[in-house]
Amino acid sequence: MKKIKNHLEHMDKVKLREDLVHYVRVKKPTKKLWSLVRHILLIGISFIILYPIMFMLSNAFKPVEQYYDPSVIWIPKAFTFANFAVVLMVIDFAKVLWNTVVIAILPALIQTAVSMYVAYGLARFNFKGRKLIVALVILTVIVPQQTISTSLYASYRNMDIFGLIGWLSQVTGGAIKVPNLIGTPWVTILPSLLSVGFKGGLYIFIYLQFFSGIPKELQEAASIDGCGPIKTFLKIIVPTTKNITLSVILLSVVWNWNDYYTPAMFIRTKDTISTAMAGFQTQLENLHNLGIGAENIQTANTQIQAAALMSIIPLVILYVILQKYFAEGIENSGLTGF
Amino acid sequence: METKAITNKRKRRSSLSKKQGRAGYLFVFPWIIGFLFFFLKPFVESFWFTFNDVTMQAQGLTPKFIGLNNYKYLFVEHTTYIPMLTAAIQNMLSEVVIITMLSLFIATLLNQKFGGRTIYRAIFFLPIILTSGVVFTMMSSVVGNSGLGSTDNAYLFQSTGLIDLLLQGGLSPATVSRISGVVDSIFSMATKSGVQILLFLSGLQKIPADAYEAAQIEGASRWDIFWKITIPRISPIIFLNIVYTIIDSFTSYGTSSGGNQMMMAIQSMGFGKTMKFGVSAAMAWVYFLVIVIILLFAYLIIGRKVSKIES
Repeated sequence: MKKIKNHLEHMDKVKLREDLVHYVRVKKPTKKLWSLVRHILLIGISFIILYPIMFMLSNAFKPVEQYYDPSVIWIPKAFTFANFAVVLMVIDFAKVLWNTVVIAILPALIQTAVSMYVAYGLARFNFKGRKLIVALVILTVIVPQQTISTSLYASYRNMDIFGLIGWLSQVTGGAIKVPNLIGTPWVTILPSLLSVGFKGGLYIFIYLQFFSGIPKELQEAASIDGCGPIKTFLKIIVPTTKNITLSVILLSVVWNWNDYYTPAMFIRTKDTISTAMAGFQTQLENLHNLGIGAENIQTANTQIQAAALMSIIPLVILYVILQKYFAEGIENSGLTGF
Repeated sequence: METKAITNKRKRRSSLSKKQGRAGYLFVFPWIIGFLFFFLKPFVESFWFTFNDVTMQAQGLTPKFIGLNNYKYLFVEHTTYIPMLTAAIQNMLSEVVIITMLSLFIATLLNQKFGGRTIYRAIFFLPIILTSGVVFTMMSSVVGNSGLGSTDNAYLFQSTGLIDLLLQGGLSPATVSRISGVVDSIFSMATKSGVQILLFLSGLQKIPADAYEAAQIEGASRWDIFWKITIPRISPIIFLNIVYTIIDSFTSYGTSSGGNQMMMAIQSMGFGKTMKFGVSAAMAWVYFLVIVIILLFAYLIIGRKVSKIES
């Protein structure tokens, strides 16, 4: 027995020496080579990803004449803000921004908070139907918005919650009317208050994963101290979610900001950033027909790049501020699958 | 005495679980109301619409029962629905394969320790922000309109003139278009992989370092380590990512030149000039059922294996 052990130890030493030789002779050069290859790959893919932003930056400040000038590659020969002036002429930027805050950002923040609240209940309490609810949350993620939007449109148009408001209206003799929510910010705010807003199921799912990972003792200690469940949630649980919450806020603000479908479908009369951008080219053409803006619609590209740049700058700033939490938050979220 | 204590304990426990249950509903009730009114009602209603001719009037939608006519129209008369469906499935399959591999590859690179990786990470998650918007679609189509082949190609090569450079370098146009096709698909795939990279990275970081160390001591190669340690440990994330990519691919809007055309078609059938809400609902429902079937397949093929590995 001892012999074998000695032999094994000896073998280990031999192996170690071999490994060392192998490392110095073979691994070190391959390591350097690998590091080089890695950087080339990463820089290449980074370039591909950053290309649209560089393209925007390059063209947004370019005088229109230089757009088709082959001698101008990246850096324009002269910088100009004329493109931005045209954008501001076409889009009432302050108004559109305010609309976006009300229609997209406010619901994003509400959605984040309510999703956290709901997910905590699903993750930390045992009650009848819990599993069914989790399955239904996932169902809401899978179903494409288009499937339900026709009927949803009708519901928003006659906002009669389970016939209650219609009944009230009859009782009061028409003093209370069944409201029409089409064209108002309520079509995004109301669902987010009930955590079924845009991509709401996904945020519930993310929080569900996070809450399943936190220690039970936190909750128990608080309840022994006489805290009710809601007080426990607000005082003990919410502060632990800082990273994940900032990440979800980033995601929900970005996705709501970029969402074209909901405002185009249910609001129409008020332009958000995304619907304004979608209509930008048409508006530019209208303006062009009146003799304002670019002389040639082909050269309007610089103006379109300027508009695109203006519409993503707030998101990029938000991303730069939050990306640290973003990487950390999702990494620690306990997202390890279903 | 003892039995009394036990029954007391039991009582307390049952009242505790009752309390727990009530508290649970307290947290979940906003979702339940929202689900019933803003999801289940329209969901069921839209299913009913698929059997009806639906017109919109001031007081709401009025359905008129027409049996299976909408489906008949879809599968017999509508010339593009089935090709669109198969195209969406093909598109999804290639996206799932390429995005899963690409994002795992990038996440593995980003998980290694080297200088500047925080900057790379910041760049690689950037597509999550940039590509979900109308701006991205609009911009790529704008640059495409300025006249250089397919949208994304033009987008990439327009000012760098790489295509011209390659052509002048003596390559045949066919080869050049193949090269540009590859770069084009890397571009669109890389910009669609942000969330997946993030999920993979989070999975990779949960693998304890001693698992790798033990394998290294035993002389396993990098390749072996990747297949025998990394892959099994992140297999739940692989499944999650495949599911995410399937859903993302099926619910995304393609550009005019490629990608998923179904979402746009469903929307314009209902709210475009035709105003055929019934047909639109039928289109959406068939599409939804296809998604469910594919997810079910994914679960049966991959999800089961994953749970086996886990246990």
